[in-house]
Amino acid sequence: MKQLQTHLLFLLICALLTGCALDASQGTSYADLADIPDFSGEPYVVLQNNQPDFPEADFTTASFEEYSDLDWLGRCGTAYANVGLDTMPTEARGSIGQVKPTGWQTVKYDFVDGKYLYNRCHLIGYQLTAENANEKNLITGTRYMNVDGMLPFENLVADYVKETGNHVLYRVTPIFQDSNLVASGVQMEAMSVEDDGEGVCFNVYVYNNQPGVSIDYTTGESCLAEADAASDKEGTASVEATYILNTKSRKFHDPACSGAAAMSEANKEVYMGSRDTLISEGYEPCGQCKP
Amino acid sequence: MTLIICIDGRGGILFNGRRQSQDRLLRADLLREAAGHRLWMSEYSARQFSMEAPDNLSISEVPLEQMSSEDFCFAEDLPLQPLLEHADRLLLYCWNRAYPADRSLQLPLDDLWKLLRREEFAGSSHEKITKELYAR
Repeated sequence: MKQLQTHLLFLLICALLTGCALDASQGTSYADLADIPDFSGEPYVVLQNNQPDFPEADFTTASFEEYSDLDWLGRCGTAYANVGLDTMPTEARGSIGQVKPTGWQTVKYDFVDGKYLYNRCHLIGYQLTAENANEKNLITGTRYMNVDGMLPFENLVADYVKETGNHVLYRVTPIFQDSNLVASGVQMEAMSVEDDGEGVCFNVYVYNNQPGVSIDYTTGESCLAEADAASDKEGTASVEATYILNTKSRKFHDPACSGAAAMSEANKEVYMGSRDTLISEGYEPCGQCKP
Repeated sequence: MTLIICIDGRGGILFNGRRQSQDRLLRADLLREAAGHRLWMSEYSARQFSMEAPDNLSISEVPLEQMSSEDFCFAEDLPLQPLLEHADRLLLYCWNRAYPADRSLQLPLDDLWKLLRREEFAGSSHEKITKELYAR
């Protein structure tokens, strides 16, 4: 019994350290931020050749919805549904302004579509499961992630279901690094049921970024990206420090980064020296710990 | 040859080898446009028309080798560039929605394409579908 408790404690610590969700009911582990390339101006990247990972038993024609309980920081977990015509809304969406997801900030930038940097971002879009002000389904998401990243995938699923009457297994997992209050991004997975994925099949990671804005994911505070970059450069140009190198991906990490902890020992190397030297040798800073 | 393509608001056609969307009223309109002509498409596209089962349908993964200048070709997963080079008319259906895409038609079209007509209609599951016919 004691051994089991130790094992469970270890799993919990791993989940907290890596920012990954562990879902006991499905036995599934989610995208590891250490494997996600830095945001490079595209709203999403494909994971695992677009193949989602759903339990065989869930391929059923009975619709369902599951929303994870908020964690100890009040953050959302995985939202999972078998979307069908019967889960879709029959009336217009109501107000969701009363929900304040973790990291919520009301901040405007003139160049952001609609001005507001953050949206209350549905994990499973209203058009799919008609969830209105469900706090287990709303995260702090940038306008860019909401509209350019997530919405096209929601549209694809919604229109497929409306046209065919078929079901789509659909799972959205917010990926938080460590104890950050704002998710780094979301993993979106979907697969159509009746035609075994011929109609819909994807597995992507959508970045919770906003071009032109630098975000502090620990709190949700933000500033213009140019100012942030200039200040970073001044502050780190000649400093020597210890970094953890991934000799395979050619990325370098802060020693406390979860990406460094999760790295294969075969690819890991401890480095003491300047950041500039590493960059001149072709290494890139980790996009999460931003060393 | 008249080439038919369905695109989203940014020219997207496919994502992960799958069409972005479908609509039975669009299929009905497409069949009206191609009535009286041979209509070529791939095996993948033909499965979308299994309910309609049109008489003028021909299935091929390399239709250019077989089609005549009067024929129509509906392209989803077929190689696009050779078909675009051979087409003298282009019939575009736009979903007016944003979908993910990893295969797209480059927009705007080349200046050689001249718009002949534009129509809008409601689909069975799409509020507004825009149809544009171009020629060169």
